[in-house]
Amino acid sequence: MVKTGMVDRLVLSFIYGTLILLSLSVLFPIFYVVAVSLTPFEEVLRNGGFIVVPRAITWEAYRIFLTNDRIPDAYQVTFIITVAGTLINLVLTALLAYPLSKPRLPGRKIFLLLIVFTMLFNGGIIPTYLIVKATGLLNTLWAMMIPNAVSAFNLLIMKTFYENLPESLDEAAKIDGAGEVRTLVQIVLPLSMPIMATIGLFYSVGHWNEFFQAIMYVSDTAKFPLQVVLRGILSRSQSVEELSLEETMPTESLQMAAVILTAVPIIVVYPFIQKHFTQGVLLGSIKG
Amino acid sequence: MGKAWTAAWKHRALYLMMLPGLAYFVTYKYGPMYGAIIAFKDYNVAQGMMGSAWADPWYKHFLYFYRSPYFSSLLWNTFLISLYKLVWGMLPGIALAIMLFEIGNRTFKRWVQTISYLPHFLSWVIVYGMVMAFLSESTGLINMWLQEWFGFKIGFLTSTDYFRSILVGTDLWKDLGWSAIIYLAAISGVSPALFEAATVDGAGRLRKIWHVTLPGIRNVIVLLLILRLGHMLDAGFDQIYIMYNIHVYPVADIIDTWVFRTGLEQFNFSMASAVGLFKSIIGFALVLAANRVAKLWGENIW
Amino acid sequence: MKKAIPVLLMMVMLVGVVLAGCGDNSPSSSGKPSGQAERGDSSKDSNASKEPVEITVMLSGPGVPDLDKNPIWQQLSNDLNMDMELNVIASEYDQQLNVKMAGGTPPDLFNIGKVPLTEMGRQGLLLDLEPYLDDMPNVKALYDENLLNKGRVDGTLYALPKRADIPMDSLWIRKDWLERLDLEMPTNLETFKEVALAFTNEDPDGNGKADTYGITGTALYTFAPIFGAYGTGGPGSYAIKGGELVYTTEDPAFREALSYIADLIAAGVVDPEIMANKGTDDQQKAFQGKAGILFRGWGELVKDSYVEQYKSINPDAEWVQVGALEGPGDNYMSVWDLGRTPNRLAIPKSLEKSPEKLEQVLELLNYVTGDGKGQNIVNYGIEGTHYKVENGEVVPLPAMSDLDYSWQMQLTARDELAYLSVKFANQKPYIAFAQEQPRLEVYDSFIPVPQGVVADDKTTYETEEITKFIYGRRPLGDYDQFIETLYKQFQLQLYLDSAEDTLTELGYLQ
Repeated sequence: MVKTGMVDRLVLSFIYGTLILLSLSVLFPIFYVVAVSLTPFEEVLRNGGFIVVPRAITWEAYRIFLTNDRIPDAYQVTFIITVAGTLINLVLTALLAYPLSKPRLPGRKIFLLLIVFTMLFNGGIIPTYLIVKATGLLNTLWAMMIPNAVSAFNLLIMKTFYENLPESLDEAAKIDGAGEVRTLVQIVLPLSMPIMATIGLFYSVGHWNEFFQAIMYVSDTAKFPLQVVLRGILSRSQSVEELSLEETMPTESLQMAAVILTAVPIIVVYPFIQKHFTQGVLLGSIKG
Repeated sequence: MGKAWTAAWKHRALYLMMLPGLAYFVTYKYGPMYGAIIAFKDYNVAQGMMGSAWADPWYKHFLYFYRSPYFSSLLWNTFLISLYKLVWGMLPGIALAIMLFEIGNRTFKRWVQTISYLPHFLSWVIVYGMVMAFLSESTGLINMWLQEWFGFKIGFLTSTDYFRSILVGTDLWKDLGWSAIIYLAAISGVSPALFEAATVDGAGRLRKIWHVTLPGIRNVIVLLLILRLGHMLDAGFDQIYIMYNIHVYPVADIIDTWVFRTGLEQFNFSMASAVGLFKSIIGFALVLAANRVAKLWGENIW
Repeated sequence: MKKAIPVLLMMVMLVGVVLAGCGDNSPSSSGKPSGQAERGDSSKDSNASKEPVEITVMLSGPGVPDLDKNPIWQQLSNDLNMDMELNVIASEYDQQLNVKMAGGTPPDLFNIGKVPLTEMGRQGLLLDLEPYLDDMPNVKALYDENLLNKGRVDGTLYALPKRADIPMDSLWIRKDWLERLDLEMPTNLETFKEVALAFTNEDPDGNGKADTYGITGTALYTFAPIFGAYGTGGPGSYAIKGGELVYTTEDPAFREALSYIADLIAAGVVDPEIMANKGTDDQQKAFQGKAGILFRGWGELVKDSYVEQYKSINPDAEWVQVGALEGPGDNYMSVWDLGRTPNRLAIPKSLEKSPEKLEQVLELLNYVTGDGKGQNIVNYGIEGTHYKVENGEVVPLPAMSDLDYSWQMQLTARDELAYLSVKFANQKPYIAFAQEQPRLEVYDSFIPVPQGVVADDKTTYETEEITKFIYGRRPLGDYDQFIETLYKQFQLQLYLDSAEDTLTELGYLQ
């Protein structure tokens, strides 16, 4: 016992040490991003790129980004597709994952194989475009939600989670005379908060970072989400094309400010998600 | 037959639930799949997918790829970078999730978690900017230190010796915290009763990790491993495209960067599609094989 | 498992068959140019009575303000009585154009790159503009055959090129560094090397640290003036010397230039990361005082905002232009690609079926070209608000600086010199200097990639090996072997044949 305690303490301090090191290794560069965004650009250049503590601070870069014509629209679009899109995702995914988690469901293997198949094979950009066009989604916000409504990856994760729920729940529900739908809504769903939160996070981050579908299916620049605008700002400076004479290159400070302002809203979601991980343990106690 | 129908009818509610999701897969995933035929055609935009003439011979575009003097090095680079990223993408994520689970201090835990997942939101362009700030031979911080203390510099970004490590390292840095999320969610599903039982048996932390935590998330690990194997030939286009340069082509040029450059230059949809198909077939074979192996361990994904 | 595969295949096939029937509405390419779309001869007068014509325009560029904040857009719409949807795309332009073309939803007027132009032209997706030139008198008057050739594919005019710009790049040097080290302005390859050495080793910024390089730049472009001094161009260019086609990589002068460059690199005077520099990395390093010599356009060094930038870092810094270096060759500053154009505009073939829209697009193109009002709007904005005219000269008003996006609205570009002297009055001497530098004329942009080769493999190999040669990782003695590989493995002969044919056809080669 005593020996185990020693080892445990050692292990624990090792863990703390590692985690602190890890956090520092992340914080140091992130701090750099923040510092650059707040430093006058001439100062950035003078320091050869690396700034530890800025000598002067300016909010200019943030002001420029937020007063950009496209930004209010872009935030709105991104917000809508994130919330509505994630809802659609979760409903459809759960409705697929739950039946597929039942080993007794006839045809289950074939459905699963068909779904895994889509993770690896796709028809390419142009035929997908034709389908999106045929279903009337072109140039609407739906085009950024529907064509990726279920991720096979997230579906499999959720299915694996449901499989781990004890069979006894199911049987208990049946004895109570509950149908499949009622079992799902009243018994299974409340127990699946950790997985719903996790998958919901995955989906919403995906929507928040929506880029590809936007540029493919939306041509109206007023319906572009945040990431497309951000990419416009970032890619010019990395572009190999010759710059136009009159073009003012976005400064590094502006780029960093843009990154921060586009990432922060979705980053703050995480602590709320975490809460559910601890609730997951409660679920476990029901199981036991 | 009759029996099968009865069994199916019994579960009609479950099938009904699946209907919207299945409709989605059929329309948006299977619907466009006919497009893969352009890999066997000389695709002409004006004539469309169906109207374009068949390639002669049918494997013409595959041959084109195969005959590139760079074929073997592309394949090797793709495989190697992918393999490194697989190992360094999964193990540390699992380790981080376990460590986070082990510590008791809530506030600390929450901070570490939130911090570690921040870099996921930085684009590769920004990450490259930071890599330059540290590693650049002419302006980087590390090289300035090296120069001051040891009197030499290292061309990290232009050296074939370091470049793959930089790719893998930055990938790890960027997505470590993010990849831990899924394992953490899985661990939170493991029954505390098991931990209690292990404690009663006098098991220490390490034993509990080995005998309770890891088996508890085994199915998730296997699932992720199998799915990642399917994408062995995707070594991370965005990252490499932004970070590489001509000095490191011999170690960093992958299938996707090659297709991108070639496709861009020649507008060759058919070849891009052929290469895509090639990657998919290998990926699918790997998934099936891996699933079969996993079955031997009593795990599989369907 | 075994059962699943046939099911799966059947499903794929079924879906495919169903979709083949309904999904693939490719624009049929039947129908000849329907004669000159009927032109409302009095369109200007009857504007008010007619409904505005809707057209969609897609351009590549960093973006323009929305209609309500964009006086140029408003004015054009007004003058031409049109309802123009203008989308300016900042990234992944080619991909977006591709899906729109393939999906049967092309814009009515769009920018197009050289390669897509060739492919889409050959596939019959683009309108032959030749019959419509008469509808655009301003265009017809200003575009000579030489210029139109840049928009032709196999002799058919599938795109209207933007009018050509003028050479803007030259060698730049830190004058204050020269003075501090008491050096003369370099005029030939020898003094150039001396200066580069001094900038590296003699602490030109006087900070007591060996933290400077002589030369920075981006990739092999860094050495353009050196190739020029040897009378040749960078790798992979097609020039004509003494009536013969010369592929620069094969040019003996090129090999000599390589050995000079290899010496420079071995001497440690070149920024070790030129091959990794992207975008304006080199310019930023130069501004930071990491290097004292740079080959770049005046736009990236002496535009007012940049001068302010580098002066704020070091008030003593002064970048000046250096003339073409003397060397064993014809002393060029660099190459000048006769085939280049800043961009091109194309109209989809399918627009033939909407004569009203087509007419509107042609009218727009005509309006913004030439000396007339339309050109002035896209160049300078609204008279009285953004500029005024004094003695027949355009004089900018302060509000003109709001129109920093105007170049994106200049569909067919502009009379470059006149335009620059209005917009960049402070830079006039630099503009003239760069324009006067002797350049070796090359023809790269005219030459189509031959069928059945992977052009990028050749370029990659060429750049990779040349990089090895200049970095001393492969001895220059291997050069013949390298050329041989280019022929054997990378089909160089096909490229040369293609160049020979095209240049003969265009009349540059006899």
